[in-house]
This record gives sequence, structure tokens and C-alpha cells, in this order.
Amino acid sequence: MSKKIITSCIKLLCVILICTIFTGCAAKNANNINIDDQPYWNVFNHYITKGENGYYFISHNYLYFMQDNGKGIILCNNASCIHDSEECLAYLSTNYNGQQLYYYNNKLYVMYNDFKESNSCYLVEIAADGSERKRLFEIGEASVKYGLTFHDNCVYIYTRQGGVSGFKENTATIRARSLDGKKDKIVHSYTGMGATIYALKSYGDKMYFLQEEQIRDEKNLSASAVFKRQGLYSYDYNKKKVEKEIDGELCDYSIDINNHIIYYYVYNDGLYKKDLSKGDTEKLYEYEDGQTNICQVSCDSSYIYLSNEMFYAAYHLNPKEYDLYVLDKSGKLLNTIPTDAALCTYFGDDIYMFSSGHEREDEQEKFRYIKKSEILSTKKWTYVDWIQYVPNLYKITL
Amino acid sequence: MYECKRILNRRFTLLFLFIILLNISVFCYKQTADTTFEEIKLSNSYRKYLVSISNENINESNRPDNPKELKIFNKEFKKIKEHIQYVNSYQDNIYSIIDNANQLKEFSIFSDIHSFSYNNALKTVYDFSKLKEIHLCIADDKATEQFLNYTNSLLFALAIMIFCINQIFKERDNGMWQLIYSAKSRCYLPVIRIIFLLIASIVVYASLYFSTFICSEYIYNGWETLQFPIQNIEFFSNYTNNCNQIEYIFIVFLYNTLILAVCSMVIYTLLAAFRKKTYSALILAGFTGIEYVLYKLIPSQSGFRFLKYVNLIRLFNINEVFAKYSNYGYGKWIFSEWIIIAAILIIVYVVCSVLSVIEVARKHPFNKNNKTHSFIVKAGEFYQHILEKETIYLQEIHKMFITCRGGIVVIILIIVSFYYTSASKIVYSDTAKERDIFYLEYGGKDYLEITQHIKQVKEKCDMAYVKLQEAVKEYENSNLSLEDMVSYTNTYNSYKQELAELAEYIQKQEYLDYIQEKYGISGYMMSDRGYEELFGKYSYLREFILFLSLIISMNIIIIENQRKEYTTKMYQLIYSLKNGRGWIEWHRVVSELIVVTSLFVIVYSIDMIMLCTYYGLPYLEAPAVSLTFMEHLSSDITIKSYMFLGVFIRFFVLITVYILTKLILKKWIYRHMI
Repeated sequence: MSKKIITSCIKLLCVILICTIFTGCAAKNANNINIDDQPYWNVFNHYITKGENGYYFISHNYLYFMQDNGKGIILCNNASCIHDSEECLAYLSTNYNGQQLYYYNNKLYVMYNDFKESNSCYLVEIAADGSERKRLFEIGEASVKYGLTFHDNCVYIYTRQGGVSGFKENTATIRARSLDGKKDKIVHSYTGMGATIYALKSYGDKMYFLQEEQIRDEKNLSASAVFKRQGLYSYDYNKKKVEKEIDGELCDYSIDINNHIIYYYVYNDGLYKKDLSKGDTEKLYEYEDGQTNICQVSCDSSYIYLSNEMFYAAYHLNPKEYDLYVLDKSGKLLNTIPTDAALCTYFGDDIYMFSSGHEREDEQEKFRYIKKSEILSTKKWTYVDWIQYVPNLYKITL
Repeated sequence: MYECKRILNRRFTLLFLFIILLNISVFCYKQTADTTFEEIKLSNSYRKYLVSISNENINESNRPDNPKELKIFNKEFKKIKEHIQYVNSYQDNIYSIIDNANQLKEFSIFSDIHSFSYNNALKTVYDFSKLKEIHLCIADDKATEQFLNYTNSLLFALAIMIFCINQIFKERDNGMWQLIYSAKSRCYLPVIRIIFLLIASIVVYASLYFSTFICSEYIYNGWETLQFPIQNIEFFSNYTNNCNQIEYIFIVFLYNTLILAVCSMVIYTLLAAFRKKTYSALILAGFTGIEYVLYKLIPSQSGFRFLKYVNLIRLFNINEVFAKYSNYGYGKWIFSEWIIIAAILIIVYVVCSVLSVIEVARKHPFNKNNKTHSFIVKAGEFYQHILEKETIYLQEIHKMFITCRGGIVVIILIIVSFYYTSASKIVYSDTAKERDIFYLEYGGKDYLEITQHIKQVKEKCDMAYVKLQEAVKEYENSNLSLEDMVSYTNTYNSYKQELAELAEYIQKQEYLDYIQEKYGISGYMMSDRGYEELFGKYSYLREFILFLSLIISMNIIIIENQRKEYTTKMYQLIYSLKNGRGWIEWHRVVSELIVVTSLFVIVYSIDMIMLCTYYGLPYLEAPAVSLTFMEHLSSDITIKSYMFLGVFIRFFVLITVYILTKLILKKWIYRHMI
């Protein structure tokens, strides 16, 4: 009899254990999908990333955090710290890449360049409250050119700019490394004159990216680069295959994963949408010459957003105005919000739109936002209310 | 009592008095390092004057006319003004820290009540709230400040304690050990010694500490300010204990006495555990080395920064620990850094005390051999049995490396070689690396492609210049538009830029043409980088250190090899061999030469392999004069031959030094050994 009781207890224990394990796994997966991939940010600068309860910023060698109520603080949990030395937990030395900050699986990620000894770039993991850092592994030669995308405990590394400025042939790659450092492989490579892979965004089971060549004319060395855009590609995480999705002179794109629609902007043409399940394509918005020849794209559940700030990078000229365009899903222009200059609009999630700007000419740039609930009615940005912000005057001498 | 009499003998008393005087002298020397006593007196008077009028308009103070005195006055004036600013803003700073802490708690990332950040913020509010009641005043705190800046007293006290501990273990050198450790009540002895060490730590440190304190107060005349809060001194602005300066001085005294007692206890326990002082010294040195490495290498923001800050190195300047407000902990359990350090020190003290008593109780000179000891003895006998069948050369080498501990010297030599070769590595820029790849692809013996490319670019540049000149004339005559003019200018500038990027190759080409003309040698178009580290001016320090280390290591091994025979009197046996002294000497020389050659090969193999890995060393068959810094050679010797020549010369010098060492040993050191 006692043997029967013992056996029954053991069986019951096993059942409870199995249930606990499966429940744990399900909860973990739910967290990853919402926050971790974050494909809505502007691909050219990654100064902002979304965390569990707010947003993280990187600005002038310091890390900051902004709550959902618009109040910001330096990411240092020592109240007596005056943030003027290397011991400050929020401080990132000049060896850190000050343009790229990522949040994934309750950790922040930045890149550190060791120019002195190993001449390598390392991925550094920072706790969500900034209290500690850990150097993980190398991701390439020391450089500020890298961009990252995270998915399923892997980091995908690519160089954001071309190899040798377009005078020579080079190979651009997407390298995948698991965050435990055990797996390392090249998932895609592309060879060409000034070959570039950029605008990597992770949506569900696929990673999308653009490819282009930035060719420079040997005979006229002072001329601008000629861009040969190759179109949009996708990498299936499960099948481990790369496919071409859309051909054409795409500048940027954004995917509404719930409705299976891709919005993409074609150079000197305009905004298009394509239904991924049916394959139908429709033009939504016509470009305006001298203003929206080239645009970045983002979208949320309600609207599509365009930013023409890459105009300067492409033409070495200012557009008539730097603007953020708010369109509805049929392409109707609903609002135009002025921005300050090139490469200062970061886009955002369903709650906020972010950019940087000056309150006054002589001030350094600061982060600002517009609530998405007011995106149709407002023309002005609100500056983040910083409880503590380190001015540019605090230069740490090493 | 007898133990005290034994240790505190005349020698100890003289040493103790000498160290007190030395401590005071070092303190006085540090005060007058860049000034004189007269200038200090003058500074004191100006400081007191400025403090006395600080409540009125300090800018209207009377300044001296003498330029030298004015310089001193201005220095003190500036410091007093900074001090006034600090005192006036102190309360605001405290309130702002408390506000920061309160605001921090309200942010979602810091607001988890079970997290360190939240509880640290709570503790910060609590600790800094104690300082709200403190009112600072303008005062002359120089005496206290200079006294607290001086931290050598602890080191001198530790030196005295080491002497005391050495006296305690004198019984091992004079044969009394067996008698003492055979006594039944010998456990009473370590307890006495522990109490003695504790009392000695207090007395020794108090003597050094307070004598320095009195000296500082006398020099700077700061008796009146001892009642003022310690936070009056800006360095201690974040010290969260509400106490005055004299109380703080006593707190530091007690803490440093604890540190001294613990350090003494650790050294005593190590010596009690190991018969040989060398092992204790090695363990202590190893531990200190590890602590130093942790202190230097762990970044301030790492998760392991606890090991950086709660560290032996920081114990010798405890004021830094008090002055820096820092907490550690987990969840709700948060403690100040100084409390954690004090707790660790007390635990170490108790553990070491217990261990030292156990060691004395356990040790017995006439213990029965346990199984481990028997195994070690049997293994040793087996090892000697194998060794006696080996050749005399192997036996000599074994004696040099194992018996005379030459192996340790070799390990250190290898570490030094690795370190200095890697420390001298230069990381070249991306541009430099691209140029090196270019040299490999198009350079070498036949560098026609480079020559042609340079010629092409030069011609394009010249043509662009001519066209630009014509365009300028046309533009001046209004026959050319501005846009076209700009285009011609841009084209010329871009070719000029390209030519500038080829400057290194052009200079190289000119140099190769020059050596062809002067010496008739066809050089290779190759990069100087890499070889500069091998032969050039950047290699001198590395070469010197490696060669010097090699010579020192060789001499240590050779001298110790001979010295051991004489200190153990084995030379009488060895020189009684039937084959004679000459026979053994000859075999010894051959063994030593094998060792010297092996050391040479090891060191320079490490050097070569590492340099090869870093820089590649291409075109070894090229004439060495192809390198611009090797023009002085003026011959067609190849780089490979030059490297072999260098190795041969070094080896020759090494053997010469070896022969000199042997001659000196024979004639001079032997006389002192017998």
C-alpha cells in the first residue's frame, strides 16, 4: 500500500514539474515578440531604444532613461554621483559607439571599440538599470560602421556604410552570432562596388534588408556616389534562406505585420504598398521633387510616417523643408510636422514619435517627442523633461 | 611576560624609535617637497588672516608688496575663495543629493522595492539626511587635511610588525622549536602571541599615528579647527557620519589599527602554517599580486567591481573609502563599503587566529609519519633511483632547474619575454594596413606597376593643373561659366589628393633610386612597418630588456648552481671523485652551455614568433637596405641574413658574458664561499 502511495506521489510531482516548465516557456516567448525586435526605428541612427517601462537614450557619452510620462533621468543609480568621472554608471567612454543602443531581453546592448590592443569591436551587455556591464564577444574590426538587429537570442551584425567608399569591389555581410557566443556564421553576403547591406529590420519569422552599391566615378573623383539600389530582400529565420521580395530603387520600407502589408518608398517615385499575401501593389503617395525624392518610412497600427532627412545625405543639398509626414493607410497626407535638420528624426512605437533638436541655437541637441495620440493636431515637439542631464561641459579627461 | 622580553629587546626598541623618527621625517619632507618651512609659516599666517576676514569683503584684503610673498598670498587667497564657495553651497548640495535620491526611486527602472537601486536610494536619503544639521564654517583645516593625506604611517607600522613576527619565529633558527613544540601546554603560546600582536599593533600604530598628528598640528598650527565638522574639508563632503575632525581622526586610527592587526595576523598565520618563510612570502606576494591585478583591470562599471573596491590595495588609504559614498548589497540588504570591509577584516582576523592556534596544536617535532608523508618519501626515493642512472649532463641540468630552483627563474624569464614583446606591439591604422597590402600585391623586387601608377597620377595631376590654368584665363575673360571653373578646380584638387595619398610610395621610390645610384643595390619596394619594431629605433628598449633579462637569468642559474655546492658542503664530496676536479668541471660547463643555449633559443623564439604573428615580416630575401632606416648598412646583405647575424652576435655576447661569469666565480666568489 505504502509503495502505491509513493509511486502516485512521484507521478503527480512529475506532472506538476512538466506543467511548470511549459508555463515558464510560454511566458518567456510572449515577452520577446512585443519589445525585442523593434523594427520601427529609423535605421540610420539608433540613439533610442524601447525598454520594459520606458525608453533608453544615448547622448554625448551618457545613457538616459525616459519614463512613459515624458520625464527623463540619467541612467545612474547613485544619487550622490555628479557624473563627471569614468566611475559614473551612465558614462560611456569615447571608445563606445555613441550612435547605437539596443534593448533586447531585459538588457541593453552597445558596441565598444578597442583601438589600443586588439583593434576589435565588442558587443557589451548592460543591465536594464545600468548597474553593471559585461563584455560579450567581438563582432568585427574596430569601427563605428556596425548596425545590429536582435532575434531569438541571436544578434545580426552588418556594416551600415559601404566598404571602401565605392572605388573598389568589396563584400558586405550579415553575420549572426548567438548571444552566448557559441554560434557564429555568415548568413548572407553581397559583393559589389561599395557594396552595402542596410535597413535590417526583423518582423516575425523573417528579417528584411536592402542592398545597394555606392559607386564612385573614377574619372570625376569629386562627384557624389551613384547609388545602384538592388531592392528588398528577406532572410527566413527558420528556412535560413534569402529571397528577393521587391525589385526597384527602394530607399526604405516598413511592414504592418498584422495586416501583412509592406509600405516602401521608391527613390524619385513615391510611397507604395504591397499586400504580402496577395502580392498586389498600389501607389499611395507621389514624391515632390526637391523635397521628398528620398524618404525613410515607419508605420504603426494607425498611420504611416515619412521623413525626408536623408535628402541631404543623398544630394549634399538641403530639401526645401525638413519635415515629418503623417499619412493614413490609404496614403492621404494628414499632417506635416517640421523637423530641424538631417538625420534627427528617430520615429517611434505606438505611443511616441521621437526626434532631437535645439531649444536655442547655442545649445546642444536634446531629445524631444510627440505623443502619437496628438500626431494629427500638433506641429510642435515637446522636449523631454530631464531630471538630470549632463551638459557638454562635462568632458572627462583621461 | 617572557615572550614580550624576548621580542621587545634592545634591537627592537632602537628600530622602533628609528622608524618613528623616519616616519616624522618623511612626513616633514612631503610637506616641504616643493616649498620651505618659511614659506609654510608665511602661508599659515596669510591663511589665518584671510579666514579671519572671510565674513567681511575678502576681495579688499591687504596684499603684500613683495612679489614672492604676493605669489604665496594669491595661492592662499584662491584656495580660501574656493573654500568659501564650497561652504556656502554645501547645504544645497546635500539637499540636491537627497532630492536626486527621492526622484530616482520614482522612476520605473529604479522603483522595484526589492531591487538594489531602490533600497540604495532609500539608504542615500537616510545617510545624507544626517548631514542636514551640519553647519560648515570657513576655517583653516590645512593641518588636519595634510595629516589625513599622509598614509605612510600604516606601512611603517606594518614593517615594525613584520619585524616582531620574525622575532616570534626566531625559535626556528636557534633550534628551540623542537623544545617548544614538544610541550604539552603549547596551545597557550599562540593565544599569548595573538594578544601580544593585537596590543603591539595598537601601541605601534598609535605611536606613529599620533606623533605624525602632533607634527602636522605643530607645522600648520591647526589646533582650533579640530572641533569643526570633518565635512569642512572638501574631500570629505560625502562622508555621511556627523562628527568633528578629532572624532574622525580617532575613527581612522581605530580602523587602521584593525587593518594592521589583521595584516599582522595573516602574516603570523602563514608563518605558523609553513616552516619555510619562502612559501609564506610567495603566498603573500601571490595574493597581493592578484589583488593588484583585480584593482587595476576590473572596469568601474563591471558587475565584479566589488572586487576592485573591496580590495587590499585600498586598505592602505582608508580615507578614500570613507570619503567616497558607496554601498553594496543585494535586494534589501545594503551596506556601506567601509562596513563591509570592516566585517571582512574581523572575519579574517578570527579565522586566522583560530587557524594559528590549530597549527601550533597540530605541529609536533616527533610526529609519527602519516601515510601522505610516507608516500612522499617513497616517491622521492623512487625518483632519485631513476635519476642516478641518468647521464651526468642530465643530473647537472636537474640540479640547476630543480634543486637550485632555476625553473622558477626560467618561468619568470618566459613571462618577461611574453610581456615585453606583447607590450611593445603597435597597432597600425586601417590606412597603414591597406598600404601594406598594396606593397604585398604590387611591391617587391619588381615594382613596375607602382612606378607606372605614380607616373600616371602625376601626369593626370599635371594635365589637370595645366587645364586649370587655362580655365582661369578663360574665366577671367568671361569665356567660362562659374560651374565649369569649379569643375576644373575640383578635378585638379581630387588628383592632387590622390597624389598626396601616394606620397609614401613616391618617397620610397626616390629612396630606392638613391641606393641604386649610390651603392648599386636593387632594393625592394616594401613597407618599413613591422621591421621598424624588429631592427629600428622602436626595438631598442625591447631588445635591451630581453637581453638583460637573459643575462641576469643565466647568471642567477650559474651562480646558484655553484653556490649550492658550497653552502651544503657537497663540493668536498664532488671534488673527491676519482676522475678529478677537471672532469666534473668540464661536464658542468657542457651542461651549463646546454642550458644557456636553451634559454637563448626559448627567449628569441618567443620574440620572433610573436613579432612574426603581429607584423608578418614579408620579403625576407630583400636587401636590408630596402628599409629606409637601414641605409647605414650600405651592403646587399638580405634581411634574413641580417636577422641571423643579429642572432649570432647576441649569442656570441651571451657566451662571452658566461665565460666572464665563470672566471669571476672561480677567482672571487669561491674565496668568499669556502
